[in-house]
Amino acid sequence: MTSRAITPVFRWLASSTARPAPAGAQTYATTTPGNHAGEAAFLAFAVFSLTATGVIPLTENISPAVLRWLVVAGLLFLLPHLVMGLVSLLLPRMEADPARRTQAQDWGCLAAMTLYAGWRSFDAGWESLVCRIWLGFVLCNLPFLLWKWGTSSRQTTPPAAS
Amino acid sequence: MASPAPPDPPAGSAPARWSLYGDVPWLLLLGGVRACPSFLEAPLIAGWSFLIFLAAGKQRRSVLGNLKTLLPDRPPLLRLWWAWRAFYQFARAAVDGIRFQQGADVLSWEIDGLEHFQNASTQDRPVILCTAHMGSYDAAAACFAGKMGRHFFAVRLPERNPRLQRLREEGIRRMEDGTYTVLYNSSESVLAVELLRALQRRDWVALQADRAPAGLTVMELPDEGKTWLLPKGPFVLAAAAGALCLPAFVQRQGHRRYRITFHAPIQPDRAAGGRDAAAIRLAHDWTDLLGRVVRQRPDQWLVFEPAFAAP
Repeated sequence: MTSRAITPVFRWLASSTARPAPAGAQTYATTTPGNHAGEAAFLAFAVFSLTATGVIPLTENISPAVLRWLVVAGLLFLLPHLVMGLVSLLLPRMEADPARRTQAQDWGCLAAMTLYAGWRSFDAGWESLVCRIWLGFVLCNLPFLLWKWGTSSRQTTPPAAS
Repeated sequence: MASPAPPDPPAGSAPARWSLYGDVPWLLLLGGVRACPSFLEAPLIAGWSFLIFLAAGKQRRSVLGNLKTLLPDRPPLLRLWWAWRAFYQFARAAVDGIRFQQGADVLSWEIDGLEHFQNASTQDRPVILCTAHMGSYDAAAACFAGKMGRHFFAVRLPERNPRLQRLREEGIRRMEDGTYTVLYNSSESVLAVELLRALQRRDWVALQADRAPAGLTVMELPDEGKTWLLPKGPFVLAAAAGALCLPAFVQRQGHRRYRITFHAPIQPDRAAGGRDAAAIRLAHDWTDLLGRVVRQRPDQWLVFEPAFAAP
C-alpha cells in the first residue's frame, strides 16, 4: 500500500507492536502490501484523529459530558464503517485479484481522508491543525507513494523461507 | 484423496440465522472483510469484539471460568482483560483466515521447534498433530501441508446451522489443494475408521484435543484439583494406532503474523494397563503441556465453552 520509505516511524511502531521471532525459528514472510504492523497502526490513528475533528465539534451541545463522550466514541466507531462502505461501493468491486482489490480500497480510504482534510484545513482551531498535519504527511510522502504505486501494485509473491 | 461428502447436520434444532451460530453474522463478516482496508482491521475488530463480548454472556462466562480454573491466583480484572482479548484474537484470526481463503497471501509465519517436526517426519510410524483452538489453525494447516511435504487430515465439527455449514465448506474447499483434507466429525465411529486408514498410509492427522463440545465422547480427567473435559477420540485413536503425538500450537503474534510452535512428541505407553490406560496417560501428558502453554498466553486460548467440570 503506502511507501515503506516513510519508515522510521513505521519501523519503530512495527518493532514495538510485534514480538520478535525466537532464535532459530524458521520464518515465512510475505511482502503483500498492507502487512506492515506499524503502518497499519499509524494509519488507523490518522483515521480516528481525522474522524474526531468532525465528531467532537458536532457533539458540543450534548450534555451531560458522559453522554457526550459516549456519543463521540460511538460515532468514532461507526463513521469509518460508513466511509468504508462508500469507498467499496465506488471502487471497482469486480476486481478479482484480492491484493489489487485490497489496495484499491486502501487508496480509496486514503483519498477520502485527504479530501476531507483539505476541506477542513481552512477552518480555525485544533481541527484544522490535525487536518494540516495529515496534508503535510501526504505531501511529504507523495513522491514515495507514487513511486510505490507503480512498483508494488502486483506484489503477490509467494512466501519464501528466510 | 477426493473431498469427503458433506456431513449431515447434527441432531437438534438449528440455531437461528441471526444468532452467533447462524449464517448471517458470518455473511456480514465476509462482506466486512472484503470492504475493510487493512489498516482499519485492528480498531474496528476491537470495537466489534467488545460489543460481542458484552452480548455473548454464556461464552464470556465460560472463558472467564476456564481462566479462573487455570489461573486462580491472578486478579479478576486481569482475567477479564484476557477474556476480552480471547474474543479479539478469535475475531482477528477469523478475519485472517477469511482473507487467506479468499486467496490473499497476507500471513507471515514463524515456526519454532522445527526439529521436533523433522524428527517425527523421519520416523516410519503414524503421527497425530495434537493441537488446540489457538490462532488461525485452518490457515496454518492448509498453508504448511504443502510446504512440509505431508498430506494433512484435519477434523472439524459440522456447524449446527446448515447454511453456515455450506458457507464454511466453501471457504475450506478453497484451501484444500490436494495436501490438506478436512473431515467432518458427524459420526465418531466412521471418522475413527477413516483416520486410522490415513494413519496407516502415513498421512498425518491434525486433531484439536482441548475441548469436548456436545456430541463428542467426553473424557473427564482429574488433575490437581480440577477436572479437564477433553474429547476422548484423539487419545483413544493415538493409543489404538500407536501413533506419535506431536503437539503443535498456532499463536497470533501481531498484525497478520503467526507462530507455530512444535513441542517434543508425547507417546502412548501401552506397556502397562492396555489401551485405555495408555490413552489416559497420554491425556495427562497433553494437559500438562496445554496448561503450561495457556498459562503463558491465556488470551490465545479460543475455547468458548467450559473446559473443566464444575467443582
